[in-house]
Amino acid sequence: MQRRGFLKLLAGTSTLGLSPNLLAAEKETFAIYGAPALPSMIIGIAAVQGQLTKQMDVSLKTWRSPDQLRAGVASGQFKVMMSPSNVGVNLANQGQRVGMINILTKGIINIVSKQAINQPQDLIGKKVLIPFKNDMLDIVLHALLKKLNIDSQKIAITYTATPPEAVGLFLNKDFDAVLLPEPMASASILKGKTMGINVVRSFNLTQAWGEAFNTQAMIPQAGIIADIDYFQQHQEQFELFHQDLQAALAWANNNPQSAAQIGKNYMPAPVPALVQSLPYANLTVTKSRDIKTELMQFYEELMRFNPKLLGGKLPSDDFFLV
Amino acid sequence: MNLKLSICTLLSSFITITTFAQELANPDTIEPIKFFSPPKPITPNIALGYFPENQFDRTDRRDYYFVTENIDKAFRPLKINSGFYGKNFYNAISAQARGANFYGIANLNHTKANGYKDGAGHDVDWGYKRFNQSVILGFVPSEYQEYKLTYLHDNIDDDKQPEFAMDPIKTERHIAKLNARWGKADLSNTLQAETSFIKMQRHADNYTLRENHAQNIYLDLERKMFNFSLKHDYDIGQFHNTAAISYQHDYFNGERYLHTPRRDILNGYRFGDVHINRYRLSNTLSYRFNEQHKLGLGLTYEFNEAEVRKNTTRLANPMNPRLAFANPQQIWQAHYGYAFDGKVRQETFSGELQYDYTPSEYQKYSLTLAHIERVGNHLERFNSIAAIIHNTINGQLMNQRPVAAIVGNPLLKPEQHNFIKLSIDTKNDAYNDYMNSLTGQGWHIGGDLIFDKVKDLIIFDRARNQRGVSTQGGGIITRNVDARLFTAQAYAHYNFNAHWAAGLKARYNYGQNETDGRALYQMRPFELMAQADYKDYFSLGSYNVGITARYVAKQHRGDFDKTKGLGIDNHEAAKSFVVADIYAGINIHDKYGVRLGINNIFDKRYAEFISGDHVVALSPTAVVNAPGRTYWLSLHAAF
Repeated sequence: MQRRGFLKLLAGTSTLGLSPNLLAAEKETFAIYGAPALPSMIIGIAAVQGQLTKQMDVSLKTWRSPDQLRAGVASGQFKVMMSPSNVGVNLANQGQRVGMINILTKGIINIVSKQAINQPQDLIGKKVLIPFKNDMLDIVLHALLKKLNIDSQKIAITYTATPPEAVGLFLNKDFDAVLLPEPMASASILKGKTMGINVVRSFNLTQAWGEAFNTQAMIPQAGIIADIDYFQQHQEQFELFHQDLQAALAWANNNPQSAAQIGKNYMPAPVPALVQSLPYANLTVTKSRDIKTELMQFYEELMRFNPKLLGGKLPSDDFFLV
Repeated sequence: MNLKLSICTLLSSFITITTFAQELANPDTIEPIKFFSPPKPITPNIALGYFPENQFDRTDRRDYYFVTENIDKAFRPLKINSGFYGKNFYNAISAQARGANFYGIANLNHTKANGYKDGAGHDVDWGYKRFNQSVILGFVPSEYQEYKLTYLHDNIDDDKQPEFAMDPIKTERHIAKLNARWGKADLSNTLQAETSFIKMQRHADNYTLRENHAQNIYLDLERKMFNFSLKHDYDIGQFHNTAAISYQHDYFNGERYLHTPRRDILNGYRFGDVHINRYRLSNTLSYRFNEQHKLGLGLTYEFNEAEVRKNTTRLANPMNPRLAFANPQQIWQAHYGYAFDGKVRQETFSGELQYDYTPSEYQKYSLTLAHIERVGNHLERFNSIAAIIHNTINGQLMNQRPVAAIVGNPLLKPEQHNFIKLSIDTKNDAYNDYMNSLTGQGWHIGGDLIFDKVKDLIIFDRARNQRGVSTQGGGIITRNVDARLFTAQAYAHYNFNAHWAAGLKARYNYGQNETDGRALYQMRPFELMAQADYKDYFSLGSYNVGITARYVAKQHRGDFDKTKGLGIDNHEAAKSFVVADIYAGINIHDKYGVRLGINNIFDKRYAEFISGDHVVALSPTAVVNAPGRTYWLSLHAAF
């Protein structure tokens, strides 16, 4: 093959690369705006693998700040969003026409510690780090302790401004345990190994929650919310997307390394931490109405401890769209 | 505020240790323009997914995209590869574990290379057997200490050299290394020590693996290297300092024998019991003005002390007591006209100034100005192979085959590289890796430009009474010349969407011997590599398909003429060519995978301009074509 032949081949390979753009027909956009968190990995997988992509131009974009989310919803630009489960209620109570589609995790918080902590009672006398005072992690722990009649005053709780700060203090200072969302909990275990610190997973917080409240082992922390009008106009597509999410979850559980490669597009987490976090993130694809009871129970606990998280009141029945 | 808090709870930002430690002015970064050595050991990090090494095929397939990488890179206790590549086989098995205070990786890999047909259908008598074992054990008692032991054993048998007169029948290497760190891993105030021991033994001959109608010759090489280094890193505000001291003892002995039915006769020293002590002091001081701007200055002093202990050893000829084989001193005397006393000391000073501009986490620009001095290696300084007979009666030296000599020069001056280097690496925020941009179209471009004005570049040449050379016999000698080197490298990757990506790599080298006004040898011709890849998913996992085309331009500039230069380059190997590969991969559950492909799909007959380098083939006897169309398949599993 001479130079001319090579140039032909090069042109051919370039065309091959361009072909997806050349042949792509115009489709309606189905854009999901997700938090840079583990449930976005499932949405991201569905966005590249799902059946809905044959009908619509499905994409996942991550929002960087709550203000961006609020502005996106207010302006009408954001129609489908993934967020912590209280945020949808908060937005609805602020007058936005949003409702809940599903829950994507049944409990993403884990406790990691330097010595095994086998049950909530064992936290007594321990120095525990919690990111964000009065926020979901803090409330979940306090609600659980209260339900179990454990005096939280007997636990030396230190609050931090961010999860990374909590990880840093936990690994470098004299703290026994830290409450973290996945994949931060897994990342702290991996980081500990580079520092010669044996970081272990403590009692299963989600399991403890279920036992304490006599309910399913479920802390419904995050899921998809949507603009109500948009949802009503695209109910078939949402149903198909639900199936895509279920398939994506199964695929992620079976292909953790490949899933993590997709996931790292949406959150600044190392691939090994994403891989290790999968079995401990309780990821699920559950329609909101199927777990309405558990959700309401969870919201009631949030209301009891910090009503501002929900915008001051519980959601109405029509908040649960599917 | 509370809304923000809720959201932040789910965010996953991670602490990343940002150290800006670097070592500048390192003479080891400069390589000779032609370097001969056994193939690089297969370390555990590259053993899985490795393509069998072939010095006559320089298509770089390491960057080909395969979904099986997620199997090979998965952190699972046990991983296995097994594959065939034409008539050749490669198998590897790795085990790994990580606890809170320890980690370990072990790898075994085996290659059986059985030859191939070139693009014209001719058999190439190439092959080797290789068995490689490695283990890495780490102990991390605390954040402030880490100890790592590495051991690697590499054994290569029957390494056929179709381009040369001798085959390494056995090459065996033992590499043991112990690293220790005291202080934090972020190098804020950290002492690191490294001790290593490397032992290499090689036996090569011209009769075991080939028909030989001339004298049967064999060569035994033994090398032992002991290294010790201490390095201290320290942060002082915006400054970071790295101070290092190192010592190396390098012993190299090489003996050439005439093999006869009755006995073996030692008739020359390739390396006459060479002992080199190398002491090095270096310091790099970096100053970070802010997140965007950083300036580093490195200085290195090296004291290099060499002794050839068999410099004057008498090599008796048992067939004729009045004659002896020339010892190293006599050989150097015959070629360079001085009586080497067996000892040489050299000092080098190197300095490097580097400015880094990092406007964002996605862009980095570097400008480097450097003066780096490199002391010649064993081959360049202490090789002493020649067919010279010493008449012990009248003291005369008789060079029986002047052109067959390969003689280094112990008193070569160190090379002095004065170069300017510009490096660029930039990508957009959507670009994670090649074939991995899901938040938009991802692109990644970069490259290097290096202009190097070299004083006293060490080159191989043929003896023609040049300055400092006392013979015109045409044997291979080494000299210092002034030279200009220019290298340009560029790469570009573009991810169109979740499924399609394309990449380009280009490289150009230019080398001019300014002292003699001719081109330097073995300069890689202009090369362009294009690739296009497709990836998709299915219920069980993922798959990929890819195609690459590699264009190598004709090399007009070379050292083709033995009467004017070294003559290592060959017009037959300097022709342009295009070679294309197609490949595919399937990954099921990140546990089981298949990788397959066809290399050189058009069965193109071509040869690489860069000649073989496993053995010192400074005067290759043949141009060896690269493999023709080759079908290959490998299985991958992780448990």
